[in-house]
Amino acid sequence: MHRLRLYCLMLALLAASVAKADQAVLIGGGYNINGSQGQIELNVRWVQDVLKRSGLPVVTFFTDGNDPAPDVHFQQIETSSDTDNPIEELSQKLEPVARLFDNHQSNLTRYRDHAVPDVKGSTQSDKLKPALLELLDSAPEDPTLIVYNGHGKQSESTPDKVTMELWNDTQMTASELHSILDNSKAPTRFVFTQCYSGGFHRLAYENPESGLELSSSQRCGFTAESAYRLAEGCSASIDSDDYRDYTTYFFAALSGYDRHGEILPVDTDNNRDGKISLREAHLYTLENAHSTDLSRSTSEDYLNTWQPWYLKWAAGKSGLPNNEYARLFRNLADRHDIVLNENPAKNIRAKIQTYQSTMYDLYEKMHRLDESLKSIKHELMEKATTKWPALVSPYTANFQTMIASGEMLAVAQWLKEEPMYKNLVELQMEEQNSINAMLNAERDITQMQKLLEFRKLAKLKKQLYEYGTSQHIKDYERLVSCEDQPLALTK
Amino acid sequence: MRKNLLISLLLGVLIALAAWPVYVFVNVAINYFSGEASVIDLWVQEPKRNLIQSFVEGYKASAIIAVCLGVVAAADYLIFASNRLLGYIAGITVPAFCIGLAFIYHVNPIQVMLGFALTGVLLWVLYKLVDIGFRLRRTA
Repeated sequence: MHRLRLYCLMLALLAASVAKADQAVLIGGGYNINGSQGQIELNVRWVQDVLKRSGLPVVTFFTDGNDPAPDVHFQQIETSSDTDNPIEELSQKLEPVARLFDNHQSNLTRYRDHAVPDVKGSTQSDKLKPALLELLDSAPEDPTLIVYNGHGKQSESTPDKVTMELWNDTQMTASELHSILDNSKAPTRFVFTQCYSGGFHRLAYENPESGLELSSSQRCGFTAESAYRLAEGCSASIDSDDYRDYTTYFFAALSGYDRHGEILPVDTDNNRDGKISLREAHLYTLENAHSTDLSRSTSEDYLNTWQPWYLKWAAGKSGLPNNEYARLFRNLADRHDIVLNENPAKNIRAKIQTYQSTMYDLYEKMHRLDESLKSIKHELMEKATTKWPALVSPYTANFQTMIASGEMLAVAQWLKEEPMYKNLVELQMEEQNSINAMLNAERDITQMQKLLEFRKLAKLKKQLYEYGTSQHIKDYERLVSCEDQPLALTK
Repeated sequence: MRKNLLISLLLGVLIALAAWPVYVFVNVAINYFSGEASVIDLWVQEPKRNLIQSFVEGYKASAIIAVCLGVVAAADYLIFASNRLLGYIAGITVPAFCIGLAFIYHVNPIQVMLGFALTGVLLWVLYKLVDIGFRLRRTA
């Protein structure tokens, strides 16, 4: 009899543990082929791998699902030695024509079907919404981790109207996802890396539009940006050395390895408990990502939303309390040679001004380059169209005949031998270098803005404990504890 | 006496209306010069409507305190301004009240004292301008 009871108890325990299994929902891809960059696809594949390795069952939705039509574009690496491929050979031969009449980058763009394994379906909103509802309905007690890698649009009104830009130019707002999540009582965590993703922190609140009351079921997450800024990433380049987006740092911190499989130089398990929590990964990303992202977690969003009117405008002292944000500030300031004297904020702002003037100089330089490029292109085009008049009107019979006869290759060869073509290439390369330098200056500015944000968060956290009600403090701690958990909750 | 009552009423309303904008102006200025201007960062990083909304929210929420400050200014005028000798220190209760607010509303009043004190001083200047204006009109 006792033995029977013991078996019953064990069965009940087993059933409970089976009922509360984790699941990860991975949503990715662009809104159409031109907005579906190779970087997103590579990110989704890598994230899927990290999630699977952590023991989470992953349900993946990507662009058009399993439709074999092309849904990803990527940039062929210039030094590609794939000369066996006729398109690569032709592309190299036609490079001068592309540089003059179109765009060198478009000449390197390729289209194909995605290579993401185990895709359950399309992200098109009328297909994704019911699929998500079905997933949550089938396991309403299961904790869910939602990861989105794609594009987003800003809201003209409240932050909950920011969108995920889904396949076939469809959308899902934060508010719509909020109502879908209302079907689940289990904890939901999310990682959103798109532009304006900060609006999705409203998922954690009872009323998505406004207010400070948290939703009854536990929800928290991490976003690459606020609801008002563009995120880094979305490059068509397949050279992952270029990637500095939130996903790259966040999931590397979680797995302990970067996307090339190299071990990270630092231990991201800050509290040495043997588990890397999402919050630890976020703090690592904040400190280490040299990108244009000013990332945030829901608890940080909560601090900003909570700050009462009489504290928001009050001028305080410049000293910092002792908390994790102050430590992040000190580490990053050290890395960027910010003098930590009596007034470090002033030094930070002085640096921002230096970077801004660098950006202004680069902008002026690009303007001058653009003028020179226009003039060279104009001269070369005139010469070319005098020799080959059909070049003036693409999409015509003359033009088609010219292409069919292989004469376009002759145009390319002639251009290559023109002395002005060398100038054109040099100017275009210089322009590209200036764009890269501008992006770097923007990244440097963001590091300074991050420092100011850390100072603000350090003070806000202290203020919450000084001025907040016990409910506010409880809510904040609930969010932090939700964030401070590893990828797999039930393992 | 009736005229004094009218002026004090006008002064009270003026101080009450100016209290929040002056407080915001002073604090933003201090923040700007100390480099800790998180509000200015918000002006750049977020839509302007957010900060304007926050300003309006502060205006509404501080209304009751502003009205109290207006009453203090009006009473101060009635007590001090009519007396030639006391007239020199008329309005002193306005910055004193502002400093007192820092002690009532803040856990660390010393940290926010400068903002409250300067707000009080600026409102005192406003008070004095009205006071002197009416005195000059009276003597003219």
